[in-house]
Amino acid sequence: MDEKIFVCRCEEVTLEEVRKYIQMGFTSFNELKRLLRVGMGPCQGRGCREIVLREISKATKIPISQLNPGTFRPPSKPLRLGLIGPDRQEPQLQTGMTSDPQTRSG
Amino acid sequence: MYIINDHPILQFSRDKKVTFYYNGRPLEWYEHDPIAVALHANGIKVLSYTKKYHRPRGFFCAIGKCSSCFMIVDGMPNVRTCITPVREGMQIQTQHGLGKFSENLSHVTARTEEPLNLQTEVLVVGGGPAGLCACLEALESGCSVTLVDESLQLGGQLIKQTHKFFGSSQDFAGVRGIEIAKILQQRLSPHIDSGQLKVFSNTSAVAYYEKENLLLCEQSERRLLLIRPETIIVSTGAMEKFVPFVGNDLVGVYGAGAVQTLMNVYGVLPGKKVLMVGAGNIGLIVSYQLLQAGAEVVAIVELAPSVGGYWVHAAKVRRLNVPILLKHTVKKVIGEGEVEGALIQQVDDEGNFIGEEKYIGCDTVCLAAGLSPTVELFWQANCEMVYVNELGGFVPKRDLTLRTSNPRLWVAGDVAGIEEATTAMLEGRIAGLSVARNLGKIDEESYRKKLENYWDRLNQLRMGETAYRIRRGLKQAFFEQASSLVRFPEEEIYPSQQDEEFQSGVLSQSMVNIVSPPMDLWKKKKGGLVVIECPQKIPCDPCHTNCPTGAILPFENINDVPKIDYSKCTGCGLCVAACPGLACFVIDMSGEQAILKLPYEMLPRPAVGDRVSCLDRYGREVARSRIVVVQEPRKDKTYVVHVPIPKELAMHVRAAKVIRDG
Ligand code: SF4
Ligand code: SF4
Ligand code: FES
Repeated sequence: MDEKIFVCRCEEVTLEEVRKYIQMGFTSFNELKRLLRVGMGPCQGRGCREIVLREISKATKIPISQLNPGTFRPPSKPLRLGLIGPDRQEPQLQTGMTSDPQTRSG
Repeated sequence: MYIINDHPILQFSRDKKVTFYYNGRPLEWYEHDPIAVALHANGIKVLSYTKKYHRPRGFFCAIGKCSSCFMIVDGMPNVRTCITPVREGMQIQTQHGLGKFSENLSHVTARTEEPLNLQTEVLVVGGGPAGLCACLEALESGCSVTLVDESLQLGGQLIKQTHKFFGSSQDFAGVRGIEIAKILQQRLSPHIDSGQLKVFSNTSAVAYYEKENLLLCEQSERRLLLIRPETIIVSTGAMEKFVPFVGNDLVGVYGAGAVQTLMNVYGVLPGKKVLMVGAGNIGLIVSYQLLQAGAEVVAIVELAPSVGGYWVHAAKVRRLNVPILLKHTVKKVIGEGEVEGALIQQVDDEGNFIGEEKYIGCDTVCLAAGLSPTVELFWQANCEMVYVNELGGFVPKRDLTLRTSNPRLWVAGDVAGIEEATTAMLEGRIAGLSVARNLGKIDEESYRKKLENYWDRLNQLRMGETAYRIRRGLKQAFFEQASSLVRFPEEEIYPSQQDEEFQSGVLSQSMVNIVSPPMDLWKKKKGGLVVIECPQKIPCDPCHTNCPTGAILPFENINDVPKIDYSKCTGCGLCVAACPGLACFVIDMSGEQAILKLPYEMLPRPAVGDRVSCLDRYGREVARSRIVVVQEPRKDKTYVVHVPIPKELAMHVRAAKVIRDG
């Protein structure tokens, strides 16, 4: 059996990875979130946030109370697209990015 | 094999069986129970495989918060199976990674029901003890209220609490949590009938938009609710903390609340041999409940040098032979996908591992290492937050009416800081009251009076010695520091420092003498005298309120330890049955043998003539005997069994276990 210690169940981020990235200088939750995806899974960081903050606190000697816990964006739960999407339309791909052919040509 | 058919306290309503399909295989379970439960009852614990490492996953929180229980249900991936009820003909598939939609996308994009637009004076998010009491208070003052709750049944964690509550009798002390949930619902139901209260269950609040004042909810994956409330009380509760150790994601590592849901709400055991991590009240109570449900608790490990929960709860499990290993922690959970055992080890004061690793065979590891408040909505609403370790993590700052820095939001219950259901109910009352006043529904004088009354009761409940951490935490959570409403003890009360035995739930020898009645009286008294082993200052008084003769003296402070006037005790045993801590015993020393009157809440149900194994405070068998009398004095399922034993064992034996076979 492997020796993985999970910090984030959803995105399968391990304690080792979190520590490594903190060592590399990424000492905010938002940075780690972007790099490792901690807190970006369907539970939205309910399980991992505190463990990650504790690690940051240990490494930087800044108490958790003074750390930024990261941004909380809605929705806080997975939402079914059909519930928020327009009514009875064929699914369309529209990313809104500038590289998106539709947007560019328009 | 995991199904609980008989339980000393609970009955499970199982009316209609349905057939559903698990990866094409037909299985049966009862309608209305969640899918994850139905699968577990059929021996299936693995619900999905993860996307990165393809690791098997089971559920973790069982209350819709962690998203560990995703499966593909009728073609829809990512369905939280712990809060989605099983239905006839349902197709359930193991999910791999993110899951695939079925060929036909229509049911994904098609909206099954039109979104519901809703306005309300008061919106309560979360229908646990705090939320239900907030509703009641607001309703009683004439507000119209909307309640959204994520679970299938209202009541939050109350619906799984089989133990009797502590606290004062005016706040449900001595009543089992499951009964409190029923009482609160009964009180709400006339308001539902009159239309003053709208309840949406199985409904998750997913987003708050401050500018638009819009709370977005989704109900049963079926429809969207767009709620525009004048005021919001958030009582979303908490989730079990996840703990980092090797193998912490294996199937069979569950949050303690999940274990409670499974076994106490639905009558399904998580496993047969359980290792409990954490000896706070939840760890201790769930351990006792596991024993009641027929599982074995192989050990409780606790990082701290003493149990964190009430001492009486620890004593209860110790005398049933559950070891409590202090300064120990789980190092590694072992198993191929599912739990097979665990390595535990001692730690020193700095948290370094010392001594030898010990292997413990178990099929379930239950995490009760604390709870984290579920606070996302407050962050989304830009409330001022503060990290308070003693309260479980980040919590919103609040004023004395529990209003946050966002004038539209109030907070109550565990989400305001992890405490007990009794305090949560009072906080709900305060928030409900404040909201009503804000909406102009209540005159200033009665508002003031009620507020003071609720705070008095709350202060009382928080005056005990185990509540010192809560007090320390609360000092950081309010905007105002000192106030006439919030009272703290003049001199801080800390848990009594005793020897190591005591810290792990066994009464110290020196204390045994203190609790013994005076011998000259004792020898004469037919029927026996009460012996109370309740040495900690905790908020609790049912022993006094249930004593018909006044032998247990009135409490000046609810946190006092009971004082006894032995001359008045008749040995009736009513306190034995009423005490939530099972800390009262009656011992009759007037005959040739001592007759012990012991509380009994296990299976098999006791009967006169049954052989029993007599256990001491460590759970060691020190004698065998037979039951001579069985009383059920309070008709609430706690029996009092009378067991004769040699007199020299009278101050040693504290539990009896019925032996049915051989
Ligand atoms: S045994 Fe009966 S009389 Fe004695 S203290 Fe208990 S309740 Fe009171
Ligand atoms: S002895 Fe009294 S105060 Fe102690 S736990 Fe029992 S009922 Fe509560
Ligand atoms: S959300 Fe279902 S187990 Fe946590």
